[in-house]
Amino acid sequence: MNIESTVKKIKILFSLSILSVTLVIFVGMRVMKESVYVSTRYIGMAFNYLKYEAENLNRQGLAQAASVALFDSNQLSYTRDYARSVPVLAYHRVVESSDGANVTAENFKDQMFALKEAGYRTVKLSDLEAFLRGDKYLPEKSIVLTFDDGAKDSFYPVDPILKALDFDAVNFVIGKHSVKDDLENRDGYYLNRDELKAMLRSGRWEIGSHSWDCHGQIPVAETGERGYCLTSRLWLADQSRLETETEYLARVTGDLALAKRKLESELETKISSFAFPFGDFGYESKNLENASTTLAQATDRFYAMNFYQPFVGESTENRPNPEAASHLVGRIKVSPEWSGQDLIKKIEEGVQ
Amino acid sequence: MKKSSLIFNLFLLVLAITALFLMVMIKSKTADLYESDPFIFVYAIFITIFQLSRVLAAFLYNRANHSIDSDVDDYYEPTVSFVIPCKNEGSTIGKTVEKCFEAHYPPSKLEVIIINDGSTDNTQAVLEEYKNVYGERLVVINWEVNRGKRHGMAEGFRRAKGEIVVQLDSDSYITPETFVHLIKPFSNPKIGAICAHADPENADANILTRMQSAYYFISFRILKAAESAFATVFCCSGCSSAYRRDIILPILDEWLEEKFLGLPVTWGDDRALTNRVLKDGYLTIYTDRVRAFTIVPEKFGIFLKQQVRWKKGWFVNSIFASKFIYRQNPFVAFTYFFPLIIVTLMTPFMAVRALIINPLVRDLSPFYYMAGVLLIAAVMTIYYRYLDKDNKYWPYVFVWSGINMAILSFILFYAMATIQNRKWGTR
Repeated sequence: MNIESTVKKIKILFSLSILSVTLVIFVGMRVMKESVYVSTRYIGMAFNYLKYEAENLNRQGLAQAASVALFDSNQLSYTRDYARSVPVLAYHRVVESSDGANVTAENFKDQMFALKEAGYRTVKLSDLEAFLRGDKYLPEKSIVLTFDDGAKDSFYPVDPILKALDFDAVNFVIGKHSVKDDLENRDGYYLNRDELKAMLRSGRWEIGSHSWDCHGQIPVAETGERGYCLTSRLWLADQSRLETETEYLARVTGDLALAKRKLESELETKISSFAFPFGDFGYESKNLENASTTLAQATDRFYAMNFYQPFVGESTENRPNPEAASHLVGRIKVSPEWSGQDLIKKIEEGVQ
Repeated sequence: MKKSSLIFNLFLLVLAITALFLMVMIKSKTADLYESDPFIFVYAIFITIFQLSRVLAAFLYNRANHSIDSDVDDYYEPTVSFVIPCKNEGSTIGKTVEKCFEAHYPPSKLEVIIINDGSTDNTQAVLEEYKNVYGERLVVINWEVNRGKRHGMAEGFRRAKGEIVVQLDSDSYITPETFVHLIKPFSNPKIGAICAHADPENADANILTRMQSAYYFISFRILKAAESAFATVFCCSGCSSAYRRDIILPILDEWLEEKFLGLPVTWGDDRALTNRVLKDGYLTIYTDRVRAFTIVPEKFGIFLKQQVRWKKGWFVNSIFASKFIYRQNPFVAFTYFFPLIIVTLMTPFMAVRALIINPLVRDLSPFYYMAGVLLIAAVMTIYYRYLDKDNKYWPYVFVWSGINMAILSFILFYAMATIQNRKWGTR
């Protein structure tokens, strides 16, 4: 074939390949820009995981070496008793430097390794529910890890440790913050829909509801006093009155229903658990008698388990209660200062 | 150039895909930074596609090459004249002459013309001795006073009896067994000029020459090959190229008297000649089947001077070519020629912006820019390894690309600023 016609063919091939490269670049950019997996934080997790896995293997190796040295063959044939109560831990975010409210990465790691070394294993929400119903026995030292609010910092620093230690966890997300346009929420404070989906896909995470948009304070009296959105009646300034109990129940029912429906449809998962914002299931209501009973009418309609915060000194044990239609689950609020050993002690005490 | 094993090639493919992936990832991650600067964003994508397009075109070069090969008339065997201008090359000119006559080609069809351009050493004496050996076939033209390379070349073309004129630097040679491939393609009357593949002879002298080896490989086997895929090579390198004499003779005077801003042009003679061949509507090609060797500068100062001359030559000839290329070959003009001019002129500004201004003024990391440059170098290197597994200078692509980012891209502006300095740069 002569060179001119070859060059013509080459021009066509060249144009086509340039077009494909351009297309690949633009499509690739679009996909990667939105992809959860292609982000510095996500990729960074892989490195952190290796770090924790190495530490885990290292510690296990030491433990094993110690047991071999002591000829402690009992440990190998150790059988577990059944759990009488399953403790549930409540975290919010895991942060780099202490802010007084959230656990630092250093302490969190220490706590998780302590749990692992003390023999704790995490269980799924469905296991906990079956346990509370009395339908299932769980091994002793079963535990549930939960994180509230669905902040990015409750996933990225946490997940590599969970993966290394083979732990699972639950994240209670605020629907309105997490289920919205992803580009808008890509670098924000809260985990977005794609991140939550990626968490679900990992198999380590379950998602629970932390209300749709009722994680804050509202006016509860003419004075401008404020109370928790979910447990107090709203002061209707334009009508100079409090909402009625019926209006209150309709408002919170609407919120809880929306949270369940939207989270389930957006994340394609079952939402069976709810964590009360601020851990309050009615005790701290400003203006509603028996708030807990009224609120329970709403929560029990949508959720099988409702997680609350016991006061200091109250029991944090969760024992089977076959009679209950839905379960109130008490959680241990993990204090930022606790070391791993402090945490184990608190769990064993079973008191907040 | 030795081809490599399947496994090695698969490995390279994986690397190439990784490099492309990272490139796109960097683009996607920096997209937000450019929100206030859509022009920069478009430019960043444009330059990436442009650079990848060179590799893609180089991929298509083999098709063009095969087509030219299959078109060759096996009985075509024209007379050939080597034209070699030299000055004070007494120590090396002998080897150059010998290598010419060693070419695997009928001796009766070979002629070597040496223009001894005002040498003050023993060049003339050495050439007289060779004259005794080769007789009529070696033509020596002795000039008392130095007149410059371009005049020497022109004289050589005028005196040449061969249908094909092979232009050689006084310290370059063509591997005798590959020589014939520089001549055969001329059997297609549309081909006006052919450029050989050149590698540095003194490649292992020091880091600078190793780096130039990598640079030569990329400029010839990738960049010139990419031009050759469209049979439109803009510069048939002065160190080892062949021209059809009949085409050159009518344009010789115009080429010899080339002026820019009123002064004679003393650099870029090879590029100027190739451009004039293109202007007349002939095809110009590069062939990787002819291996030539040349001496490259071993000192950084001399290397920089050479670069400055080349950039000046590029600049002046780009202006020349831009006047006809869009009519002559619009496809090449708009997919390569004009984009190259834009990229070459913009690169220094982009480098200053990304490496100096952004970090100092806007507190933006220069990391992404450097990673982008590195990845393009990586893609080139991967293709380089695919083309020639045994070429050991490939790591220097990264050295080259770093120096290019830091220094060489700015040389163009120095070259433009000193464009009125018409001294004949020494080698």
